[in-house]
Amino acid sequence: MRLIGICFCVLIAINLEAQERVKKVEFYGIAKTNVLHQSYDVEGDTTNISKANYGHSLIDLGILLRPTTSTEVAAELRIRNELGGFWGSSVTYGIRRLTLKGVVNDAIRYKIGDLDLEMTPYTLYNNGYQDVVNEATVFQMAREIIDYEYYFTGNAWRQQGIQSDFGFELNNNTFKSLDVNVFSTRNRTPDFNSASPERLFTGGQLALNTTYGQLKFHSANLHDLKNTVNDIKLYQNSVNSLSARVQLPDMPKFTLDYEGGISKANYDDLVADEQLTINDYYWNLGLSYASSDKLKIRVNAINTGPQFRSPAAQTVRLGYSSSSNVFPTIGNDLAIRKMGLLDYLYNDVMYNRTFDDRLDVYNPAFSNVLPYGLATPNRKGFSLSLEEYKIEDKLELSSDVHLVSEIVGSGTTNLKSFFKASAKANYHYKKWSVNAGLSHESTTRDGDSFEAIDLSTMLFDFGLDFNISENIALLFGSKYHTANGNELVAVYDNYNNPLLFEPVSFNDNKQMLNSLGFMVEFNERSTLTASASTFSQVDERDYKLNQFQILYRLNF
Amino acid sequence: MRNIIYIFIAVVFLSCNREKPDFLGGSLNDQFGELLVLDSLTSSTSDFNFSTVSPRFFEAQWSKNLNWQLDVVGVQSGATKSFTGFSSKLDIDNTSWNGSANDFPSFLTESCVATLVLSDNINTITMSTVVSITELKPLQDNLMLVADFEEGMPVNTIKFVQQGESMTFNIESGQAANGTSYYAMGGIVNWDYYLGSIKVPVETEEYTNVSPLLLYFNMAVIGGALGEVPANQFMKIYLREDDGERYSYELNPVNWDTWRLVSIPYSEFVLESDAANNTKDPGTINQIEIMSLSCPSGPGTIVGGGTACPENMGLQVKTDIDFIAFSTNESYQP
Repeated sequence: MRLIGICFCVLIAINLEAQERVKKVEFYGIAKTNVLHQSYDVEGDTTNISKANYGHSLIDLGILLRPTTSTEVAAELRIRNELGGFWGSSVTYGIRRLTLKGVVNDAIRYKIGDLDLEMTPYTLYNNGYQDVVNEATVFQMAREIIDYEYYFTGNAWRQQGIQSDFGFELNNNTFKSLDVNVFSTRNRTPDFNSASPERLFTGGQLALNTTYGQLKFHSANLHDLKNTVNDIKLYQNSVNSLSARVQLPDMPKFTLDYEGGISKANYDDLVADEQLTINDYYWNLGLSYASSDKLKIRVNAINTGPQFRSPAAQTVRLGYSSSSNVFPTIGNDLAIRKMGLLDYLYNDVMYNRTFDDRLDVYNPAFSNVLPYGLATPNRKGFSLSLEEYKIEDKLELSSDVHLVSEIVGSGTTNLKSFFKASAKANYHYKKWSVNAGLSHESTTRDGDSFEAIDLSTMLFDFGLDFNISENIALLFGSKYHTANGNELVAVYDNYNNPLLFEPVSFNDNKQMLNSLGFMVEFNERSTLTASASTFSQVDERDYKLNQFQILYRLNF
Repeated sequence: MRNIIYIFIAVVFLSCNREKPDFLGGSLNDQFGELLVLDSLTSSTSDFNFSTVSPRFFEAQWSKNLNWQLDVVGVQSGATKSFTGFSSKLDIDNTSWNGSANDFPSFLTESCVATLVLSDNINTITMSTVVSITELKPLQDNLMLVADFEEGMPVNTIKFVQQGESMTFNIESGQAANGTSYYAMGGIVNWDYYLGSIKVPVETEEYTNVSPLLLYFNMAVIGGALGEVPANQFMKIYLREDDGERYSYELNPVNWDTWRLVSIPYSEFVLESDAANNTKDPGTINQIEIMSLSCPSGPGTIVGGGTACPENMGLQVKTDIDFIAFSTNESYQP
């Protein structure tokens, strides 16, 4: 009896200890099936194929290993099979993620492997999509697939390298603590054929927390590593900035924030023994007002120099002038089909994952005011934001207005003036959810006929969700885009200086994407969505696309 | 602390200053603007007297920067002087003219037509004006004119002419490279490469301290009409020094049909005789020999060996010359 009692106590003790211990191995994962059928409709086109079926199934199996209490290894393994890849003929395997992280002496955190990095919109920032204002749920689900596949998490860029952060408590009434975050990643592998050296991206942040607010130093450096190939040219770009956020003591509802910094791009031609350095600066001064949790307003003055170079903040996420392999040509003359809203959401257009030392090509029909976000060079002006406004927890409103102009004219002394206004609204009532967004941009420049610019674009998002029951919902989404007018788009040289200007014109161009979907939520972890979409483009070459999609997702 | 932050922000604002160009990139006016003539083509003076040092140039102005070309052509000589540039005007900086030509023939005292061509992607505008050359440009410094054939052959010139058909080794008048007379060398010799030559005595003591790199042998040369030039028609130039050394330069081929300046640094001549001191001494040159040669058409044995060129049958050799001169530091400017 006494033995039974001892065993009982030991078992209870083991059980209690096991409950306190962190699990050493954990599994998680996601399974997806995405099937798309698209048909293409152009009057009189007898040359191009008119239907396409494609899709895939995949399983991402995540493993979390915790060999010690202060170390964690995360790995995600992928098995993917393309639609129609019978008997494993199109199966691909790979590692989606491999990260080791841990803590040294309970003080210094480190991470090695895949990192999601983000700093400020001027130093390291993955600017959002340009064809989104406030998307419908049925489109958000398609967008999540892109984000997942291309590792777009918020405004962070996925990089591979090492990161560490640690902090110091300062024994001072004013200066409370100092936080340090540093990283170094490999942004490009060397290419011997093109003599492109290995490229590293290093930087970090130093944050001084005070009783009045936070003062931060940011540094982002993209630089070639010498002697990794037979070097012909070497490139280096550094952006260093300071930011401060101070709550005004006399007016506690007001907060002043500031960010300003300098960029330095260095081009070293080892063959010609020539060196070119390009410097510039930027600043952004903001004042925000928060009356309560329901209202936040913010006004900013911005000034970003014409020679400001920050590849980690100026690389665009999606190439809006790129092309897709789905219905790549149009008409019997096999002209290149202009991509549209449906391609950006569902087809294989170009997404960037490494930083470009040259400014990316952008499509002025989608973003001409700030194509590279706040880091867009050669902009000065003001922005006004209604960051959040809630009415009875049912209606949420937000809006942004940008009034900016060039600092230096492009090809002329006359300056372009830009205006951008966007508004978003979300409304929830019982089984209904409505979301809408409208964005309008205009670009103007006075002068002689060859330099005058008048471009106007508009993007409208609308979504309506109706929950038929707890697990079944009807989804409707619509996107409408218009562009009218002309622009002269700069063609840059190797040093990102405009070389010449290419005329671009939009003759009342219109795009419309409508989608009707049906979503079944089997449980918290799995959903099935079926949607039918139509897309029409009115451009130099009009066309229509119809699409049917089945998307199944399972999280485990 | 708060004040420190305010001061910091103020200092950053005040310290920011960037150099601003007028605009970024190439001018839109240049790329897309309409091409308009603002001031027509004129010359700084109607009579160009190149013997004086006063400036002589052309003027015009138009609405955009573009690539332009101005050609001044002598009505009598056919001499041409070209100016090119990328700008929106002609002025003293880009069309200042000292009376020289692009190549031989040189200008005479004659009327010249200046033609300006402006061309962008859409339009081409042509403007012309007439100027008169009243005095020719002076010969450049340190130039030694050996022969221009205007007043006959130089004294003690030795001429050799091979036996053949239509042999022409004479001073001719007409479209000369310089002035109105030149020396014609040509004919048909179907059994030997060598058609003939002239040997002109010279005295070059004044070049005693000149480096062979900086002494130029200059001569105007013209071949036959295009399509009628015999294969392997060429010339050989010998410069003899008083120590017996003979230096040669082969001008091969001679197949052009307009007067052309041939300017060769003495350093490019090669020793073809027994060596004396095996050193090129520019101050000791005492004879220039210019030979006319061409591959003979045959048939029969070729004197001196070599194979015949049957394709040259009936083709007349023409290796006319004019304006033989030495210059230092630079080539002669026709």
